[in-house]
Amino acid sequence: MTILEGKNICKRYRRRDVSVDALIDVSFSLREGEVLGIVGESGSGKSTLLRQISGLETPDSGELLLAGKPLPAKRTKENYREIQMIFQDAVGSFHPRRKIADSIRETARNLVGPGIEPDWQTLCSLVQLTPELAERYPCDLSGGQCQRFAIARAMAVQPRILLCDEITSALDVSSQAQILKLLDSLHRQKNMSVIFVSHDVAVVRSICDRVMVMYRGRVVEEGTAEAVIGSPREEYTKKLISSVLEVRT
Amino acid sequence: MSDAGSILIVNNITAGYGEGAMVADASFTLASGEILCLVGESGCGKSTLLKAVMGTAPGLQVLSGELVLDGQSLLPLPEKERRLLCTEKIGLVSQSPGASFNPIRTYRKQFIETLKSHGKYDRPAFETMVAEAFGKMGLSDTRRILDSCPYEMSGGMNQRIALSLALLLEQEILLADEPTSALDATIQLQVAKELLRLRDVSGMAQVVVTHNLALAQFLADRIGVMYAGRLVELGTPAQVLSEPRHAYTRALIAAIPTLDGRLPTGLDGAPPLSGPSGAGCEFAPRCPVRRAGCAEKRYSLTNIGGGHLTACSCGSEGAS
Repeated sequence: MTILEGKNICKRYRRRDVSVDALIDVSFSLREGEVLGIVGESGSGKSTLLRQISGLETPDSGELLLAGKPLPAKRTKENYREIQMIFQDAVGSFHPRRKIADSIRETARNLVGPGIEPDWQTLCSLVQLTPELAERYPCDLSGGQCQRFAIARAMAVQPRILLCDEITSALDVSSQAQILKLLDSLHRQKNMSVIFVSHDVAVVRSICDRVMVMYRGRVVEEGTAEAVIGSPREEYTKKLISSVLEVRT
Repeated sequence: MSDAGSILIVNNITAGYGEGAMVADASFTLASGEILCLVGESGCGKSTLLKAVMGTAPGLQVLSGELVLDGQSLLPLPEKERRLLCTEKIGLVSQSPGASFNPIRTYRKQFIETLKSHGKYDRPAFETMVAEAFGKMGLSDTRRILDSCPYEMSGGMNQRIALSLALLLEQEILLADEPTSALDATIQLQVAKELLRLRDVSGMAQVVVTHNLALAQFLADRIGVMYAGRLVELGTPAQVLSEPRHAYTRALIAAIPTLDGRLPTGLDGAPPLSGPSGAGCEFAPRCPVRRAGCAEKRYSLTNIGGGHLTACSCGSEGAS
């Protein structure tokens, strides 16, 4: 079943007399329980697409359908709850002067209902951290720990879709591997639908079922991760894959 | 690895902020034109070691050991003299190249200022010199770049401009702290090639800190693996990556995602952020092949042949 569909989405940014077409006629679909990867260089429109889906911005034209129903330009709280976004800068995505637990509680109360108390045991064990750590401030945690709490905050409102924008790019290899394993288990346990944006082709290959390649605001190639990354058809995809540095052992 | 001909000798350096050491007993030598990559997780002391060599980080103190730069022992020198010597011979490139420039002043002003402070500003020849350095780093359109501000440039461009400046200053060593980790894959490869080019055109030795093992393999003549403030393995990329001996090196390699689509196995937990404890092997609590007594036993780097140094060889046994 298709949970999210985008049809002919366009987005243009204007500043004074300069305009940039950030998304040109982008269409995609995300099936329930699927991890869809989006790869491309900086400036290819990956994050812009996520911002249109999450409701942080509104597309100039085109349509977004959540489980067959159009998402309104002005989103409701329910819309925000159903689609949760996780960002690259995990530490910066939390209020620096609030304890992690307070930030998570605030999100839950805003989107689910006043007086809601997240189930800390379940939530923390989901992201393999202890509830005591949630009583700390963001600056007292490592980047990897903060990113897990960012995932916990998204999961606290029981979303239908997770949007991940370069969530491992600022982490070192071992934290990256931990986050990838965590996301993979969430996806399997909860049948979570995920859109995973990254410039790292190897990371995308390791976790995604399907992959979409973006270049200058357009989707240039799409298919199963195995096909797109294993035997790319487009020149651009080939170039992207050839610039991946791999460790030869 | 003889000490003669080494441009930089780091001998048993222990350094930290205040009382606690963040780097312990680190030793390596750097030959002219050599690229050494320091790898390890965040918080393992890689950047601290670079800063200890440079000696300009506020509050960071070298508690013991010896630093020899181009035959001159650094630590006995008065602070000002040491700083002058270091900034003359050593260039520093940080993770966000934009941050090492003032974002809203033109490159021209900043280049002139920096060259003047190094006594290398020659007004009539300035643009020609810059054009030559830019040319070596694959930049054209010198005048337009000089009259732009760093905020107008992409990360990759900024990094190339920063490297050109290092070239102009004719420094002998470049210390680069995660020079590519803020960049995407295609630009990363480009900057990595430029670091190699910088070495080839100027013979500049480099110490590059990165958590990207693939980048280290691409760049390095030698790789040093750090864990909790200590060097645990040191050798050529072939030695360290193809025949890793330390369990930590092996775990780091297993954590890298590959294009074959397997989920990386990873490494649970995190390094101790308090630095080296001084008791036993710091990696013991996370080590898959630890033995009784590892947490108490101090392992020091030992040469196992061909310049391959490791603190422990359990990793190779664990793999068999």
